[in-house]
Amino acid sequence: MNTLSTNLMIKKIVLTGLAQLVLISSILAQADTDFLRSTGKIYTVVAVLALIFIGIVFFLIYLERKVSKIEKEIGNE
Amino acid sequence: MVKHWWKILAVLILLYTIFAGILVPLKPGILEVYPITGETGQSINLKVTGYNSHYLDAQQKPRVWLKYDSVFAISASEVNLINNTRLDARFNLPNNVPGGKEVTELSLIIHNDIDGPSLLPSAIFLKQTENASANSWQSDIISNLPLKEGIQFPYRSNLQESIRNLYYHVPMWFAMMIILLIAAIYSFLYLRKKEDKYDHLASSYSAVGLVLGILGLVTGMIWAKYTWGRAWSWDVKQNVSAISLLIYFAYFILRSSIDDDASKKRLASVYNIYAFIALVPLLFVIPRLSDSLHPGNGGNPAMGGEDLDNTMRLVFYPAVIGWILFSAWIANLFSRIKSIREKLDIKKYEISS
Amino acid sequence: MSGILFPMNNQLVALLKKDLKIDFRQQFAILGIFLFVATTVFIVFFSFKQINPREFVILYWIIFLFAAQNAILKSFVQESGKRHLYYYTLTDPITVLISKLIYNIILLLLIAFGTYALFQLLAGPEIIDPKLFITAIVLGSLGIGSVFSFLSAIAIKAHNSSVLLTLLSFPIIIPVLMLCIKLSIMSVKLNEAMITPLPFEEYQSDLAMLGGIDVILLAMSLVLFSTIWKN
Repeated sequence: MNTLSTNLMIKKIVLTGLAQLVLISSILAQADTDFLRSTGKIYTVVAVLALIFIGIVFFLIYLERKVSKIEKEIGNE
Repeated sequence: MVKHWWKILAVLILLYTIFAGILVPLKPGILEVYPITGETGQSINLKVTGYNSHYLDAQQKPRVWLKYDSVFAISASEVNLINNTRLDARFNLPNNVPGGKEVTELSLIIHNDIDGPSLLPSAIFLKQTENASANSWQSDIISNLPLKEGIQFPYRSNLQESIRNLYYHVPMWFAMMIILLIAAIYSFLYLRKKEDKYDHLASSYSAVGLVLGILGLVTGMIWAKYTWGRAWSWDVKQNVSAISLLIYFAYFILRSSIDDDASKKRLASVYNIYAFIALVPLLFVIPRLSDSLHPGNGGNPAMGGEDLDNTMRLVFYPAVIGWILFSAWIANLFSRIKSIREKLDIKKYEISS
Repeated sequence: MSGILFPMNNQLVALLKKDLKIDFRQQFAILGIFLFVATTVFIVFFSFKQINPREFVILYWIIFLFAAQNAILKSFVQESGKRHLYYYTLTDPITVLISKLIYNIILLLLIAFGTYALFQLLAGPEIIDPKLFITAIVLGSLGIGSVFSFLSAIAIKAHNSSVLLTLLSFPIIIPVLMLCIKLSIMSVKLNEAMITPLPFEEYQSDLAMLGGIDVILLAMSLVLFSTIWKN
């Protein structure tokens, strides 16, 4: 039961994370030009670094789900 | 601890590249010029905005030229300094242009003792008008432009600070190629030795390679939007990388659509090798054959000379190595999880039967 | 490889004859492909009315690609089940692959020239460099045929194999197809000013590239095919 709820929670986190990503990118696309072009386009570098970080985090969440599934099965035996 | 040295190395290298890549300043440059058009025979006042420049702090008054080629150039007749990043330069434009074209692009060069030389290519467009007379170019020789040495990244007028993306976007592709190569090698080993662990390694490395490819594509799209104007401009390299991602998506779909475990692993390995070898001409040869917006296009997809100077090399190459090691670490973790998963499944099967 | 080439000849001929016989008996399959080509060509001409040479070449190759996919799916569906294993007991896998390869490539060449004839009948553009156009067709059929034949042997083992074949093969075929389109555009009379064919230097690197990819794809199929069937 406990692992099930954590799984649900992780699912929720992934979904809200995805939603946030879409939100952020849409905000960037609308308010875009001036903010990302300001200060010598330095914010494109920030955006790129943030995206790489988000990508790694998503992969970690994917691994996390695999491991918790295994933990759940071992716990059940 | 001894076993993990390469993981520690990966993290240290990545930390170094993130800090060095963000903190090292750019060389001074010219941000923009107004107006951007002029007519022959006119006297124009150019409002120049500099970037990271020290026009007022410099001991020597900045010298300003408009340059046509290595022979023809005109120097500013009057330079007014407003602050460190603003100056006005007055030019008496000559009556005709050396090339004799209707519209000629001129570059702007500014030099002072603190900043060294900075250049804005195609700064203004000079229109040839009817009043052509004998008054031709003075051909002021641009001389005495000592370069400023120092740990600084080059300034490019279309990239500006986003030149730093080179250390975060490009290593994704380099790491992807190496990681996928390792995956293909593991697939080959699987076909040779038929040990499950090689298949787990191959599929994990392919997954990580795919993630790197997606990140490379997405970061590239952001960078492209603010340098080329559009996120997707149907550039050869963009197309080719999208195709290579499709190949690896197909690989995972293949894996998920075969039930029998042994034949799944065997066929997936065969496809992985086939796909990787089909990918190589795609990634290395096709960009050589056509024009690209990417640097070093039309003949040489590698980056050389102009696009990667010595200071950038100090950050770029470590970044490539760091990302390769870091992704290999993640891929290894993933394959270990897969091995445990499979052992568990086998155990469950033995218990139930 | 050379050791098995001699006894292989008879088996190869037998396998090719078998394929031919099957297709002759089930004429609907092969006629279906030509019907598909004819229908698409008609739709194209109906909707475009005036077609410029560049678009003609691109449409030609797209129609060819889908016709080729249909043709190979057909030969692939009829071989489903355990029949491949049966051939494997009779001869060796490489012979099976080579026979399939030769058969499919001949089929694709037929489709390519058939489609072209249909296009020409309905007023396609003038081809100024037939040698180049034919080379592009031959090399294209070779590459596309080898990819489809090899990957269908993989896809046959999975669920939903016809969809999977498309998924597996299209990304690998794209570069071959791009080069074919590029080469055949060069062989077509694009405007009135063009009188003589382009010099060889203009397209030799593309041609070498296409040939190189074909060689790699063929060699990979031959090397890897035995591992698909080995258990």
